[in-house]
Amino acid sequence: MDEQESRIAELARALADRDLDIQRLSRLADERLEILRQQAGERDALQQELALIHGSRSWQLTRPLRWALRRAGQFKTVLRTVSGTMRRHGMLAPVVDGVRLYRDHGPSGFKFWLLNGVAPGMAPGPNPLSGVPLGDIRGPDGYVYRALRRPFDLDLRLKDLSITFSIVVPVYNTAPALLEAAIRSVEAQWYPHWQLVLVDDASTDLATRAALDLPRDPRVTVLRSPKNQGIAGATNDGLAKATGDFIVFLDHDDELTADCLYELALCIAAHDPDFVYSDEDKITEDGRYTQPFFKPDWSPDTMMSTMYTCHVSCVRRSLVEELGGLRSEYDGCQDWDLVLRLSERTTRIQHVAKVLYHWRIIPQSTAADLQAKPYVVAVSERLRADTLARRGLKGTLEPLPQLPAYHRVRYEMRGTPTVSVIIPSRDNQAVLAACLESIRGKSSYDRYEIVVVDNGSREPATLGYLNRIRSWPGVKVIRHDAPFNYSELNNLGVAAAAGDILLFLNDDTEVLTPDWLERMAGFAQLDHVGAVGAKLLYPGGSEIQHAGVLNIDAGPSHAFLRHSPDHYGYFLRNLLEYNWLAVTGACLMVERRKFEAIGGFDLRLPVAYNDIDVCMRLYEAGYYNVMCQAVQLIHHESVSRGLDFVSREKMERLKRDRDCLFDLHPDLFQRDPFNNPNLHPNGINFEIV
Amino acid sequence: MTAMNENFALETVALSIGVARDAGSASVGEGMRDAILTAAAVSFGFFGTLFHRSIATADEVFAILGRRFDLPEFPALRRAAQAEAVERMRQAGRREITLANIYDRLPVEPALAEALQAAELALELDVLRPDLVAQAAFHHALELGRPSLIIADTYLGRAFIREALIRHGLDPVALFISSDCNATTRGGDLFDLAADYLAMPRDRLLHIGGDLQAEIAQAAAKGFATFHYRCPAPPSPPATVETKATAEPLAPRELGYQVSGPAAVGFLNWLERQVKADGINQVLFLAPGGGLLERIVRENPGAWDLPPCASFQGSHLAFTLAAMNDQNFQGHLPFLVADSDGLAPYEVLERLGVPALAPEVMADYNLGDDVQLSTASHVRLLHFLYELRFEILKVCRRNRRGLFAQLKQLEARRGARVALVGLDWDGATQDALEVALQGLFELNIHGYSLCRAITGTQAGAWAPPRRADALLSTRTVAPSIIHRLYENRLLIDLLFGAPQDAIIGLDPGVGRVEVVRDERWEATGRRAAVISALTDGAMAFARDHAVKLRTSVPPPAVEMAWPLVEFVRPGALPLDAEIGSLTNVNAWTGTRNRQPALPHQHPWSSAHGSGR
Repeated sequence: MDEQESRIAELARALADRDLDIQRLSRLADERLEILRQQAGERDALQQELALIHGSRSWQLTRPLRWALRRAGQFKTVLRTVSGTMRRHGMLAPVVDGVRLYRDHGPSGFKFWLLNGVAPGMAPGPNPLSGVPLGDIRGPDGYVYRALRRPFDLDLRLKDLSITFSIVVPVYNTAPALLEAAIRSVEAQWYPHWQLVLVDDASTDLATRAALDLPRDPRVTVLRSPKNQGIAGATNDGLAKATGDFIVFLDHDDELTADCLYELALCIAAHDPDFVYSDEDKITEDGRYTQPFFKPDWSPDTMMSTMYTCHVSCVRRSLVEELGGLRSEYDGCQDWDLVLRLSERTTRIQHVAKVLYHWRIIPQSTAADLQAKPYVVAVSERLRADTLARRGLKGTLEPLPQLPAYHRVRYEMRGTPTVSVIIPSRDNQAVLAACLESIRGKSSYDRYEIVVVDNGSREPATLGYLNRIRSWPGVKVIRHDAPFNYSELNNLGVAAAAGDILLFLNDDTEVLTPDWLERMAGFAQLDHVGAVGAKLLYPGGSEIQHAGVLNIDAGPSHAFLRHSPDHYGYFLRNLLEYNWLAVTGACLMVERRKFEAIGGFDLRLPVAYNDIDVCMRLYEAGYYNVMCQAVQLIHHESVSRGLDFVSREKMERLKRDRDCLFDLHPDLFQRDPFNNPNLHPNGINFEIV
Repeated sequence: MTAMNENFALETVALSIGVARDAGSASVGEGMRDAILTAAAVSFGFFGTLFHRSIATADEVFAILGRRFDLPEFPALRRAAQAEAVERMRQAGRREITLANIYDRLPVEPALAEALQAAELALELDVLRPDLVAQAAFHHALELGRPSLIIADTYLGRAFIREALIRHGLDPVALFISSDCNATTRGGDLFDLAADYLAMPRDRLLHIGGDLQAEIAQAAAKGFATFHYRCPAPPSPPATVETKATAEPLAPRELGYQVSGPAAVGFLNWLERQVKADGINQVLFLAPGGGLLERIVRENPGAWDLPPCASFQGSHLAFTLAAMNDQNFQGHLPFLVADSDGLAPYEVLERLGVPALAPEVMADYNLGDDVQLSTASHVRLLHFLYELRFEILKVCRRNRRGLFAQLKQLEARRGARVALVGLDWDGATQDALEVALQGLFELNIHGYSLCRAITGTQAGAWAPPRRADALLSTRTVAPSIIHRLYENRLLIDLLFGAPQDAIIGLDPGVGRVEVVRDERWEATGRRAAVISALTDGAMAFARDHAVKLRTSVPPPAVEMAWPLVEFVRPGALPLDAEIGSLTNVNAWTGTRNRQPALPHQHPWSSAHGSGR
């Protein structure tokens, strides 16, 4: 019986889901129909007006005039073509060109030239253009790496740069051609102040040893290790001989771009960082570039999810020494270990958003597939568990259900703080009830309170429901009967809330993940974390409504919209916990102390972008916002208030609010530190261009 | 000023007629105020009372107009036209002529006549000087609640008088103007009209005027009480622009003093009046052309009464790039390749501030360094740029962010009325800025430039930018002069301190917007030295001018700037060797393939106006 009842309840919930979905879609359809109706009306009126004009006497009478004006226009174009040709190529040029075009294209070609200023087949203005076929240099994914020209005034620019680099390369049985390519890539650097330290980790391949014996640039040092120590040990040998201000790590079969050290030097001169990393791409076996990784700026939580900084990696030598170099027990993830440790010592970390490193794909290498090296997976898990312990944090590593070789960190909640769930609502009984039911029915953590901020409900059903829940334990209902201002409602909710952790929640959401509060709070309690977001799905659960907000050129936009929740995303960004500039306020958790430190929601943003503003202010205050992809909720988006883009008035309001947002945060106008400028400027799926 | 009597000199003979008060013993102002106290209503004369003209005779006005419009015979033609208009007026039994009547009789093209008529009105407004004593009395009458009006014999018309009152901050009151009323003061009937309008006993009506015969005597004859106003301190003649006659080319500093300085100061004098009339909230001097102007204003505080001013960094190119995005990129392709003939393909990227690709990569696109661009390679170049669009768009976004950050730094308010001041020859820079700001930061932009030209490529199809004015335009001077100035725009840009390393972008930077310059052509520092000397000269002139302003009024703005027009006149002095030897002054068309010197710069002939 229990099973049956549970099944019935599940079906009832599914039905309710569907009803809400239908309600949302029919509302959307109604609004769009209304727009279509209005546009059809306007079109009909315009057509009638046009018919009247065409039928009018004045139109008929002015027909010769219009003909004459058209001809005059053409005559003017012809004059422009002729005079332009004369001006550019001399007095006789129009005659010569005209004759040539007449001969090559006939009278119609001649006429085309006169009226368009270009020969037939040439692009007169903005004709559709297709790319130049570059099949031989384009990667299998269509990506093209385009090397840059040495700046014409490079010598002048270099005068101000004196930083020195030591490039350390552990070598073991490397194919001579690949080793040669790696060394050549260093020798071809625009930036001259470098030292290359090649450490032969007791190669058994004679060809490798012979390649290392070849005469080299005096800046190249070759060290021989008597025994094979592994990558960390060999690198540490190289570090001991390094003299540069900064260490640059280069794998024996990879390549630096010619501008790599120059760009690193510029970055160091401008920001004085301790650690610099850049974007990178890969080299296929046939020598083409592919799979560029355009990375976010420094993201501590992303760093715990994946070794995203990877190549090129440039660390101040004194810091590497302070850290004791690389650790052999983490061979395979020794670089990850280094970055995690150094980020505990410094916050001076910079990202150069340029491809400065080509990582060669060799079958069975990590570049090809992480799963190809099971021992690396194990090390990566151990490494992060050790990191948590070192940092005094409690948490566990969980394999991703979709990709078990990758692990996310599940931080354990510290203590048993009260979580205040603040839900603004108005005349939305059915939706609110489903939301509250899901919280009360699903949540595995029970130290929470619900603060419903009623924005002046009028409907009897809603008023009755609010009266009922008022008496529920852990539920507060406060009434604010004033024009809708989401910021104000939430601030009032916070004032009435008792919890140290705040969770702003839309009334049209439903919890799916039982330990949602613990998971989100685990992140929210980290000192460096600001807002924590959750993955929101459209009713039915098969499409993403929110998986993080990207600040693209068009403004804040939801990433991976309508993709499957299991979609990997760019470098697993839809599955792993990454730092994002913003998360939606439909489900946003933040510690009260941090929220109050930034002054709460801004009342100047009553409808849109108030949540983005909170996230931006948290970011500007030095916090990192994070998306907890493991937490999922259903979101019946804007059932309560309607969508913002369906009428001109709403569009204008949206534009006003967006203007206000960027007036408040001018530095973030068309900038998202957690996206990358090399990706599509208006892409929500991290499209490579 | 009347049609019958062209004597503009102030009447200084003191006479008392009827109840007119002689101001000999008391101060003139007090006398007037006393007279106003006892009157029920007051009429004021215009010329010689509320206003004086800063030049002696109408012939001077005609001579100036003749010079501005390249018509040496204009003064004679103008006088003859006026005489003919007066004759026709007599024959028609009318009492007064209008300015339109005169210009109807001028034997020139109607369009030219129209331009000359507008220019004469503008010049007459420019030479008007307010009489502070009389105007204080005017304000006093209004404060006392005395119905007041203005009576004037002039063919310039009511609109002219109204404009003069507004320009000088006087409340428009009832106007009785001879050319509009077909009645005159000298005939007395204008006073009858005024008395009928006021409907008060005539002996309670006071007329204050400076012309003893035409005003005071006639008003008294019509029963008005009168006050003969004798200006206690006639306006000094305008300060003149002193230039040193020389047969030798002027060295850069001297050129700055004699040409750049007067032009800049004249422009600022004109700007001061324009921005006030247009209700501008903020003045943005568009660098580099406006840089000199901004510096003059900044270093001579109080010399010009302007709204908050700031230097605004940018250029046509920087703004156009800022307007480009992934949706409109294709439409901007013609702009990107304009004037590229003769350049190496990678230079097309360099001039946009886009990192140029390595020679071997360019060769992959069949656009290697051995290619010199021509019409034949345009299609290939277009395809290449399209292929590279997202690299170019990164620069566009940087510029857009820089532009936005700059506006925030300048504390510009959305929707504010902003003056964009500089050397925007054809309005293209203003257009580009307005396009870039659409949907980004709406401003009510009004462009003010030194000279506004209608370029050959734009003629006919060209429409002026939405809101723009220029000191020198076809409304104020002959088209041939505008054309000549435009042809020499690179030289004039230089005179205004436009550096060779043109602004090609804006970088929001960290906390402060940084200007991105095209630094390819300034290896020797020669140009910087020339600009420094020119600017020093211009600044010295501005300082001297600010001192002179304390004791004398400046000449009309166009006259002030006239040395610049003379400087580019055919047969004028050759360029100093230092300036003449500068090469690749136009960064947009600059190429390592050739090194054109300044006098031989390729005329600006792009399809997009001044494409920088």
